[in-house]
Amino acid sequence: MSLLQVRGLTKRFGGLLALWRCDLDVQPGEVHALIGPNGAGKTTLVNLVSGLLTPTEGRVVFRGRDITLLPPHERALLGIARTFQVTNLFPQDTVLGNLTLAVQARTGSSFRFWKPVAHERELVEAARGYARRVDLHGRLEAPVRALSHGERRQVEVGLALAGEPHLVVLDEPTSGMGPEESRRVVDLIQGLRGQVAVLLVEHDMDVVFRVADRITVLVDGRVLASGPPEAVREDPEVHRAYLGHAVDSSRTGSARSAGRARLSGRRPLLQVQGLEASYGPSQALFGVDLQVPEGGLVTLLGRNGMGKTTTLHAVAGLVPPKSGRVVFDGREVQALPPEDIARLGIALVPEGRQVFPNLTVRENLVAFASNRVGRPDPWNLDRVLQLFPRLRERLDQLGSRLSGGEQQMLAIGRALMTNPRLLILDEATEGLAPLVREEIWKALRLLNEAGLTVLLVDKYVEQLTEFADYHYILERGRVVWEGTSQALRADRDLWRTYLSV
Amino acid sequence: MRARDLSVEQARRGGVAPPRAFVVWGAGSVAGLALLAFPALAQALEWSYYLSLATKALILVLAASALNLVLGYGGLVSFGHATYYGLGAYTVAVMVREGIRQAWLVWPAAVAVAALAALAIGAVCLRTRGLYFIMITLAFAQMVYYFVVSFKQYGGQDGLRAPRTDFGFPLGDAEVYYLSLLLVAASLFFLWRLVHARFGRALQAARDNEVRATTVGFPVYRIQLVAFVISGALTGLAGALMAHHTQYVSPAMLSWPQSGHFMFMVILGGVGRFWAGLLGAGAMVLIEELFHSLTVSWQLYVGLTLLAVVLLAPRGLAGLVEGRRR
Amino acid sequence: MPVSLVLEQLLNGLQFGLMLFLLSAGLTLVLGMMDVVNLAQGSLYMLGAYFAATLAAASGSFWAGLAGAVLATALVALLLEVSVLRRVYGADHLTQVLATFALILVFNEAVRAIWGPQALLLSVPPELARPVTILPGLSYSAYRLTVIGAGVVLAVGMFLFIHRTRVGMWVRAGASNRRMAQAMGVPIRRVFTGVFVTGAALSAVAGALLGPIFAVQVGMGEDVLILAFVAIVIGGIGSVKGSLVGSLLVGVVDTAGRAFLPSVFGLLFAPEVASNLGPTVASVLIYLLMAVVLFVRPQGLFPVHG
Repeated sequence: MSLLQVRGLTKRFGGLLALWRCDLDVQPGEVHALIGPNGAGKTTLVNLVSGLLTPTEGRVVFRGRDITLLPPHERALLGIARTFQVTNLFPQDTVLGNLTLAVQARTGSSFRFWKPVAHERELVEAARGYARRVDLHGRLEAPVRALSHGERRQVEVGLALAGEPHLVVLDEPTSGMGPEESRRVVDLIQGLRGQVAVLLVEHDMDVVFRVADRITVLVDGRVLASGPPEAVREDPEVHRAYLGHAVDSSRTGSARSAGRARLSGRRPLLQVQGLEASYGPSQALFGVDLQVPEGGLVTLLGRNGMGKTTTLHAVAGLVPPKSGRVVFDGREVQALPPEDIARLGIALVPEGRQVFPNLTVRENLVAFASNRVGRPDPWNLDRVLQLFPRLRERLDQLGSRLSGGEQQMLAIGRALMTNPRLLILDEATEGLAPLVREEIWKALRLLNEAGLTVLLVDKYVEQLTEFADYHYILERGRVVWEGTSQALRADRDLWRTYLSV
Repeated sequence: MRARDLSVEQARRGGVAPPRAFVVWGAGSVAGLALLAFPALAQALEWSYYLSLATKALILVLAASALNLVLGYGGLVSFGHATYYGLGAYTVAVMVREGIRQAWLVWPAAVAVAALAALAIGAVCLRTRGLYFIMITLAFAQMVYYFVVSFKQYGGQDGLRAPRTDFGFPLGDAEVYYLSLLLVAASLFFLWRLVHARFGRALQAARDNEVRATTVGFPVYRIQLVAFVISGALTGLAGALMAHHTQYVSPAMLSWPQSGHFMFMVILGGVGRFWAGLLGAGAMVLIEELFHSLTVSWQLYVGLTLLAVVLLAPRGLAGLVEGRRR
Repeated sequence: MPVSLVLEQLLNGLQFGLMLFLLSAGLTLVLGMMDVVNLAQGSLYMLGAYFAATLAAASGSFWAGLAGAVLATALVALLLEVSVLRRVYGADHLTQVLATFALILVFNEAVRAIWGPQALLLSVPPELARPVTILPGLSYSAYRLTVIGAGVVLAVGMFLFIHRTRVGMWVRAGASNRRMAQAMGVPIRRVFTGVFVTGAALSAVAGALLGPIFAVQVGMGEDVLILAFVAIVIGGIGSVKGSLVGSLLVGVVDTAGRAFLPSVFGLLFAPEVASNLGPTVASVLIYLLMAVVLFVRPQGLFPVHG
């Protein structure tokens, strides 16, 4: 019998459907990886399994027992442990302190008011044991604040193990790590095999294919495929989910020709040099270098969690870089607040759209409109509505009432209304029907030909090579490949390695 | 600082390294003796005002330490702790007014009323978090305030006289001082054991990272509720003591400025550090006395001092001391 | 119960609710935009009343006093924002609560030191000190009607500003998603200072207008402050529309409750029970309402976050 059985799991957040009728089985002792492109619902699924969320429909069965509505602390006591994508420790405490707490939670009652924990030898000894298992016995007295990111991850795993679980849920354990530290995590996971079952959420395909016994692919809230790694790797549906189409298909279009030549001699409008950025202790960017020539259309590619959004946010001023420079139009902007950067002529269409829900469509468009560069034929409300006629019917509706696709259009229109010199789009076609997607790309192409510089993050590589000039591929917070559309098209192996599974 | 506070400072700075343990115990004993001898000294010097002040300070130490359990160790910003203080005090006054004067009945009743209120209010409030938690504790505090004030037969807005209960012997000011000293010392001892035991560690874990605490297996809601009740009970005890000290209870004891006053003491002492109640209440009483003797607008300067503390020294007195040690 | 009495109380409730709105509008925006709990809003209300009383007495004109009070309070608010409030942006709520609570103490004592402990007299302007017959059988104070009128005008003005101007859109956007508003070029710090000072000015107006009715004394801000917080929690933090609805609700329920519940209870219970229970339940009603709203719909009636 499966250790963990998920049946028909569905989760709605208001109008948003995050998961739909998902089934999943994890066998005792196996390493089961959960992968999927952006917004697939992996974190939601994991939260439903560990109890931080309750499902709208469906069941979660663990060791034969229905735990669907059981609160998280009781699930922990039944034998489900988890780590978090953003390291989640007890920040005021030492390594030993953290582990002792986990042991305490598992053994006996916490409603003891008299005996100091420091005197409870069994607890402390057990905690030491777990520290040894995760290779941290040399750092017992270190406050977790002083640990490196990798060491904190080890403590996380230690906390999970201290619960003597049957199932450990690892949520992106290698995120924020360089290749060396990732390898250590892999060894750790290998060491767990056979003793506990592991449900592993990961974006790093190297890691996944090295440790997973089975893989489940989640796309748009549904289970797309599930099976042994080789089967998933060869599954054309999976590639379509990641790339937007099958890997080896050839469309009738051709790569944008001579991208480099078209732009030779153009100065860079945007330059990113040696950019490093972190979210707290977790480092996301390890030195990103890229350039966007004036008038060019450049893409940023790579799987999720590789640093694309962080890079865009750093450029827009929403994330302060740890080191490195961002130069826009000859000016260093990395230390400026976001509103100043916006006023210099950079407009962002963010991931997840982020339209203002309490403003109407008209207000979303009009509120930030400006023409600071003195464009002779500026974007205004009429032109935007011509581009996206669907918005015209919705002008007086609140942003929160629009469908996903309409919100996407609104977000793009809102950015255009600021008449920027550089337009940045982060997964701007997500959730749109293919025809609408084509419309948007056509519009971007026209805009670009009229002189607008564009930096674009998207996953539909094939189509992108038809109208983009240059591409950068990010992996683990570094640029691992850059080149023209022709070069990208010519090397399909690249697509498998860095963009798909 | 007073002799007692000074020795505590020394204790803090000395830590518990063996050669200094002797100093700590020595200083502590001296302080303890000083405390025990104080009323006699006060009587000899006709310092009745200072005796009263010392008693008041002791009682506030208890109230602040009780709040620190929930605020500092629990991370729960309860803006309604005056409720339990006032309920403890009013229970004493009302029971005595109704003719029940035996101490062994009245005191447990006062603590029980406060504890039950904390149970009821906590059970509801602990389902919320953040700003909403603050607002809803405040809302309940206001409800209790208006409820108590509506009872005209118990004084309404004017308050109520509260003769001291009967212990079998008459309770003079010196006796009240000793009673306070005893109860405060016992409570602090109990709190010390509690925060170092499993319960205290689990409570702090929930404060530091609630999600982590719950996924590791701690029943966070229950732990916080029990902490709330213990805190409420001890705060009620402080209220009962104050009723005995001043022989008077007033609605101000239930008001939200009183809650704010307690919170200030905890912050002044150092939120989440064990001696916050002692240092904070002691310092607060000193500061108020100091400014009171200097100017009519003493509350203004107290307010400015508190503002400065909140903005500039958020870790409080205990934090400053620890900072210097490192 | 005569209809005229009911109507009169409803009008009183409307008047109180509108004045409460002047306080809570600023509160909700400050909390929604910058996540700052400002307990000192009640002190600004009190300052408005004190400035108005002093300036009216000095100049002989109520209206001059009102205008002067608004300017003076706005200035104080600006100084306050620059010196104290800036230091608590991004701090946790406990720090903000304590810092602004300390400000209450400071303001109360400063006012007491400057103006003395006695309540000040702020008289109704003589031209309005007469009753007006609105309906047959119902006469109402002309001054109170003016207060209602002023409240309505200001509410409408706020609405037009928030919903019809670009800066108003920036304010709403900032209350919903501050970082995205910044990314769109909104100068969020300056907008926030403007919102804070405007909120202070409105509170001053409320203080000056209510001064003749409720008495100008130290500590007058605190009771109103709690009600304002209740109003914005009910209405939804960050929403001006919510603060209006919440304020009206609180104003009417509180006023009508205090006026009618004792009589209603008198019908149901014995007189001494009613005389205790009535005012109690009336006072408690508002907090009960807030507790219920927090449970059923924690984000309030008009949430600004999607």
